[in-house]
Amino acid sequence: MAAGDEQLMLAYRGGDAGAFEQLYARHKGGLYRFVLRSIRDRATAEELYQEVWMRVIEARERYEERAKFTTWLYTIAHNRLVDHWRKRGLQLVSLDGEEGAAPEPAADAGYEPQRIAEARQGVARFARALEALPAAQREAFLLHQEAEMSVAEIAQATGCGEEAAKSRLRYATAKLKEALGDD
Amino acid sequence: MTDDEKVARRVSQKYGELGAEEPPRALDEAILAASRHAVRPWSRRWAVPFSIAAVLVLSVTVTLRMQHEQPGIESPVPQAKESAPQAKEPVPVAASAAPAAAAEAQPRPKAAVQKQRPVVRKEPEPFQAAPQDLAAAPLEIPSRRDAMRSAESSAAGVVAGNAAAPAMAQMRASAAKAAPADTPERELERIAGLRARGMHDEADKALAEFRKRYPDYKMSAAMLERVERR
Repeated sequence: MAAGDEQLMLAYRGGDAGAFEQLYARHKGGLYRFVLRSIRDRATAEELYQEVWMRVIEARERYEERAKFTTWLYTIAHNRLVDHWRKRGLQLVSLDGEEGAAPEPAADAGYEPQRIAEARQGVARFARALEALPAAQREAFLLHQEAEMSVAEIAQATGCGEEAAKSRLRYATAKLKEALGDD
Repeated sequence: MTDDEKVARRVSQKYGELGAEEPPRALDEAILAASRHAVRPWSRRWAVPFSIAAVLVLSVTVTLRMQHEQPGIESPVPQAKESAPQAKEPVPVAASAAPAAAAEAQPRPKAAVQKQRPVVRKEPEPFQAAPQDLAAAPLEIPSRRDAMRSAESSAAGVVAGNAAAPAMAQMRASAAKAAPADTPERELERIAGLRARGMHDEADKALAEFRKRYPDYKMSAAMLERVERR
C-alpha cells in the first residue's frame, strides 16, 4: 500500500529525499496546470510553480499533519497567485494572445478532418470560456478538477466560506456548460 | 444521476480534452535538486553543531592526554628512574641521626619508588627518634643540650623550609617542665613569685642572675610575661 501524502511529507521532513520525489511525482501535473491555467503567461506560471514547491521545501520543518497535504499545497499556490495578482493591480489577463491557443485534442484514428476541426474548435471555445471566468470561479473550478477537492476543501484552501466556494463552483460550471454547445 | 451531475460530468470531460500539460523536465530537475540539497546530511544545517562538537571532543582529548603524560603523577616508570637517586640522598643524614631507620631505608628502594615521594617520607624518621632522646635527657647539662640542639638543627635542615622548628621549641619546653627540682623552671617560678608580690627589685636581680647562669635558656612567652618588669 502506497504511503499517503501526509506520511510522505513527514518522511521528507525527517530527511527522506525520496519521499519528496514521490510527492512531487503525484502532484506536479495538477499543480502545474492549476497555475498555468490561472495565469496566461507561461514563463510567469512556471516561475510561480517553482516558487510554490520551494515554499514546500522551506516549510518542511513547520509542516504538521493538520490538514490534507493537497489542501496545504494548493493553499500555498493560492497565496502565491494572490500575491501575483496584487502586484499586477488585480488585473486579470485577457483571452487573446499566443498563450491562449488550445492544445491539440485527442483524436481517434477514424476521425474525419471536419470532425477534428470541430473538436478543435470546441476545445478552443471551452478554453476561452475557462479563461473568461472570474478568477475566484476559475480557481474553484481548477481546484475541483486538478486537485479533486471538495467544496469544503476549496473553501479551506482559498480562505473563503463553504457557501461562497459552492456558489463559485456552481457558477463556473454553468458558464462552462454554455461553452460546450451541442458537441 | 441528476441533471446537474450530468452537466458537471460533461464539463469535466471537456476540461480533460484541454490536455494534461506537465512542467518542463528542467523545472522538475531544479526542484528535485533543491529538495535533495535541503535535506543533505552534512549540509549547512549541521555544519555549525558538528564543528562545536568536534572542538569540544578535541579539547577534552588533549586535556586528558596532557594529564596522563604529566610526569610524576600517573606514570610510575619514568619517575622510578628519576627518584631512585633522590631516595639514596637522605640515607647518610638518616644514618647519622637514626641508624635503624637508615638500615630500614636501604634494603627497600623499590618500595620507596613505588610509594610516591619517598624522600619526604623518610625524613620524619630522625624526628621520631629525637623526642625519646629529649625525654631522657637531663636538660641541666648544657653540653648534652647543645648536642641535642645540634642534632635538631641538622635534622631540621633536612626538611625544606624548616617547618619543624616550632615543634622542636615546644618539645624543649615540655622537656623542661618535666625536669627535676633546682631546674631553671623552678628558679623562674621563684622570680615570678617575687614579681607577683611586688618585689620588683629582687625579681630583677634574680632574673639577671638567671640569665647569666642559663644564657641559652629560652623562656616561653607566658613565663616572660610573668618574670619581666612591666
